[in-house]
Amino acid sequence: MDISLILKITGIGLLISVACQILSKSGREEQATLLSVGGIIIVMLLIISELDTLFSTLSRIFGL
Amino acid sequence: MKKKRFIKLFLITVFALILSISFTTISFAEDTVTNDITSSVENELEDFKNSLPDEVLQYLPGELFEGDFSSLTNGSNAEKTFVNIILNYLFAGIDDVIKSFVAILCVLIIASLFNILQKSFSSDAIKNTFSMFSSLCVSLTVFNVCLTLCRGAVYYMQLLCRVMNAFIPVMTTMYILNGSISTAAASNVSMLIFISVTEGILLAALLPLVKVCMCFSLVGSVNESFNLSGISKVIKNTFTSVIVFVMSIFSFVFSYKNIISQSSDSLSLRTAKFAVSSFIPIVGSSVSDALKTVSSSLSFVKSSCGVIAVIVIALIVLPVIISLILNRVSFGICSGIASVIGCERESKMLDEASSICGFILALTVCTALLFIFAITLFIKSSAEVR
Amino acid sequence: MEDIKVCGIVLCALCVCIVFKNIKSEYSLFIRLAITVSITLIALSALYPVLLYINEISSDTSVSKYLPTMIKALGVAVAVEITSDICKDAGENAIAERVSLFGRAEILILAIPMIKDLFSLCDNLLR
Repeated sequence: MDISLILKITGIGLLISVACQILSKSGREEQATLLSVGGIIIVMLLIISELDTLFSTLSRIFGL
Repeated sequence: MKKKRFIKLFLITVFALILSISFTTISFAEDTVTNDITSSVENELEDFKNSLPDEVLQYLPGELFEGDFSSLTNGSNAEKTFVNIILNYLFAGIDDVIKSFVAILCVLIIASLFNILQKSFSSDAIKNTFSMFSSLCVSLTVFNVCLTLCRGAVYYMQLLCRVMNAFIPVMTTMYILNGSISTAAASNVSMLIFISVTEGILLAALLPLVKVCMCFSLVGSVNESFNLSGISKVIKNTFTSVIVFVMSIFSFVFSYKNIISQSSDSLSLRTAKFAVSSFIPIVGSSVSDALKTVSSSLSFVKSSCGVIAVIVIALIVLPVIISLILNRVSFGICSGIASVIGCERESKMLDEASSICGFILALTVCTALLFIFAITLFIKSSAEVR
Repeated sequence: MEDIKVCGIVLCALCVCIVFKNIKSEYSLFIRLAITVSITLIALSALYPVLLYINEISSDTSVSKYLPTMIKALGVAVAVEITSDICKDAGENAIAERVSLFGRAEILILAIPMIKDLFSLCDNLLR
């Protein structure tokens, strides 16, 4: 469970950074920016579900 | 709960004193004639109850005269039952002490667990807030126990004070009715008034000091930055000096007046003196000096009213003192355990609670001493007047 | 074996984080978030039996009415610590301090009933 999330984020991050480098080197700056923003949104969606798990576990254990 | 027990105990002892003065024939009964004794006890109880005036009867509790005396008068088990009853009264506070000891131990263990968890926080602010929180919790538990002790001791002292104050008009009336307004009468009554005044000083001036000390240590235990130990120390020194001063005036007056004669020095008396001076804080040395006078006054009471009167006085005086000593010991043990576990602040707070217990113990022992002397004077005056 | 695996995972995530710090720094924040969340969940699952045990041993003593409040305060402190540390690592000290202030205020609010009890105890003592 732990490793899968980190691997996913690492994978997406490497992919996006390589793709951004290629696009910026070939002159399409806007597309590079859009791609990096898109990558950030995908990763945030992944992270938010984890954060939801964390905070619901906290409130369950500590009775908040 | 405790108040009710004290009222009942006190009224039973007054009744037993009167009974012991009037019915000396009961102690001469033989073992074989058990049924006769039980019925004769009940008959005499009925006669006694009928001879009391109505105004007195309405003040006594109803269950005082309905008792099953067969277990006390039946031959071989009589002494064991009697001793069991006495021990139950003396050590009535032991259950409460054990319960509070266990509760404080649980609280200490939980506080140490929370200490460990709290060390994992990196920011100082949250660490401090959280540690204030946990020491608040522990001090509330400990001082709830102290509050019950304080209330019990205050009620005990007020009751004894009220009894001693009530002796004064009775004694004065008896002397006046007898017609002797002599120096002996005057000195006995003035002695009693002196005892009552001393008692009033203890109750009205010193007890609030103890309560203020308790509040300071309760508030000071919450946070390390509340350093109320300076004021606390001043109050404790004032308390110590006032009570030692009062007790020394008292013993000086008594030895000067030579009201109650001294008895001889013996090994048991010296052992008792040493035990008393080590167990009772602050006033231990003056109380152990007064022990000779106490033993001679108790032997006077025994010669005039019988052994049962001495036992009754011990039952009045001792239970609260024993429970205070036990609580003090339990606080000391908990303080040691707390410092082993690693809760330094809680250990200091339990030390403070133990010393406050010691102060209350000193006050109650002084009150008990004055009570014994007052009763002796009362009985002595009645012996003279008759 | 489970515990040592956790240390290994943390070290790997640290390497990835440092790699991303140079190419795309926002992804290092995400890696940091992910590994923090995972480790906290593992720590909480280890802490849960301890809290259950504390609840058990104090179930019939006089401290049991304060214990749920204390555990709540512990929970608030843990959550606020996580958030403020991540903010500090991302370089936002102001946000971290305000979150910490919020946490302290929450714990003080939880402490109000105990302070009320303290004052009523002092009142009873002095009467």
